[in-house]
Amino acid sequence: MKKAVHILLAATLLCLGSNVASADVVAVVSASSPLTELSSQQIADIFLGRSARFPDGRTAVPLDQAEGSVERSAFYQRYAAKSPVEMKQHWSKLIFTGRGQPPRQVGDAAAVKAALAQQPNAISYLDRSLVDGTLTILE
Amino acid sequence: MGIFMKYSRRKLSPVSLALALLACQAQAADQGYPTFDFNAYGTIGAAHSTEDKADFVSGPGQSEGAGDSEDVTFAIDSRVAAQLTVNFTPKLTAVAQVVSEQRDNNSWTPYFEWANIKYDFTPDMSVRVGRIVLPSFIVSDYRKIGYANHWARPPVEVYSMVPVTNSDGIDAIWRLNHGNLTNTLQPFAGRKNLHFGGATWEGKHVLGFTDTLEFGNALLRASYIRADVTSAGAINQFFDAFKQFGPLGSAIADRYQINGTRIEGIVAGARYDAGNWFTMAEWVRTSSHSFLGSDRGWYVTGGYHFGAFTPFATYSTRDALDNYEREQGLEPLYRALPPQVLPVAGFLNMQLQGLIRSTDSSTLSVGTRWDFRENFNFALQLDHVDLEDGTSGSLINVQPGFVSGGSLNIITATVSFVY
Repeated sequence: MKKAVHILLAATLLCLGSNVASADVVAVVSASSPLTELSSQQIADIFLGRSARFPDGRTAVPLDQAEGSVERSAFYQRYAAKSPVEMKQHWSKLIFTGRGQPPRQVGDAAAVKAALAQQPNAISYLDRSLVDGTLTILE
Repeated sequence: MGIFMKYSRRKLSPVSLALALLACQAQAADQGYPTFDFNAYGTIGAAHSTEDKADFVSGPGQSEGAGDSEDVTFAIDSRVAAQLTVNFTPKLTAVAQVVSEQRDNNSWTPYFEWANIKYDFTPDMSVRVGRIVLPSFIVSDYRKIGYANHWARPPVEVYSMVPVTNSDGIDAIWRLNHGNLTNTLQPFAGRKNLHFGGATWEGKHVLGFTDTLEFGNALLRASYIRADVTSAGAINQFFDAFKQFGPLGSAIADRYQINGTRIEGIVAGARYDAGNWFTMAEWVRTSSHSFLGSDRGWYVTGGYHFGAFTPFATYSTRDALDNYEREQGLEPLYRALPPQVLPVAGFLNMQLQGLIRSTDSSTLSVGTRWDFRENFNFALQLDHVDLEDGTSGSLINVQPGFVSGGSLNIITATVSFVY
């Protein structure tokens, strides 16, 4: 029984570890947005529902990739230091007390690019290798 | 526009508000509004207590628990809730949440935990009207959501000090961001009626505020709440009986009864999430000139994430701050009372002692959470509860043969979900 628990623990840790480490995810906005940089804390605040605006005062509209995707897990691990379970807990606390709703889920990388092109106020995240000239990386 | 407002402010405002909302609705309808969101949460919990001459419960509104009533109870931690959110326009939202859990009289009748309309004046300032959440504790907003918490239940000593989770009224949420700091101020006002202990407790002029400061991994919170409470039911007859005993009896009734009595509470809390580990602590002080007296309680908890497991430990304690043990009640009158009245006075005194006796206790809990499946979690918790000498702590349904003071152990297992 003890050995089985050890194996289970190791397998879980391994699964979580390997997925997240393989994606180099960066926060991006449309190139037509006036924004060129944003701190990690400010990015996290927007995606966690703590802040609704960019530093220049414009409304910020965060967009998520599909739940369970590698990019999504990597993004929240990097910027908010939260696992998918912790993110779900975070939003449960806000949804069930009426204090907020999660970012709109748009889909995969292609959907993210399309959505960002349409909304200069939107902010999302992508694997670095997929970023092209239509987007600005926020470091 | 300014002239119109000054000229016929009262008559114009509701009409102009309605027109503005309709205009918003017409515009929003083009953008895919209204939208509907359905969410649900629930917990199935089983608990066993080593004390079988009294019931261990998880909050003051319950009538049955683990120990005397049941060897293993499913009644103190189980609940299910459903919530519907309607976004009429980007700024106007209505929410209703219905909960079914054990209530007074052992009923599980679903009730509205909250139902309100929220208007966002700006992305940082909104007002809600209706039945709203009372945000007294860091975790009070979501104490019922098993999935959102690491423990199997919030520390009983502390959370039973402010047993109300909602009120009917109005609140405002005003948020300020400055660099890495986020401050959220939430004032509220309303009224709250509670049914427990076979009585109705009417809380008027509920007033208070909560302020939360977040920066990086840390969160600080301070809260103040007060209400003017009046009781109705058997408890009123009880104090009326004291008034039959002359000036001394009337003085006793005035000191202890709850009749337009102001009850106040302050809460201070902090939380730190370092990614792999977290810790949280809260401190509460309540006061009232009534049999409820003044209490102080606090807890500290911490846990560590090992993959899907989160072992944790919690220590919580509660202390009465008044010296009600010294209350003699009607004793000074005994010598002068007619013999047939004496037993009545004695009985009333004994009941009074029971009412004002402290419910002090301390609990050390250890356990673990296990996220075994997406949207689900399991929690296992062991509690060692130390009762204050001569008291039964927060235990209810105390049976003859119960030895007061001492300690008991609780083992709890819960499975929770969110949808």
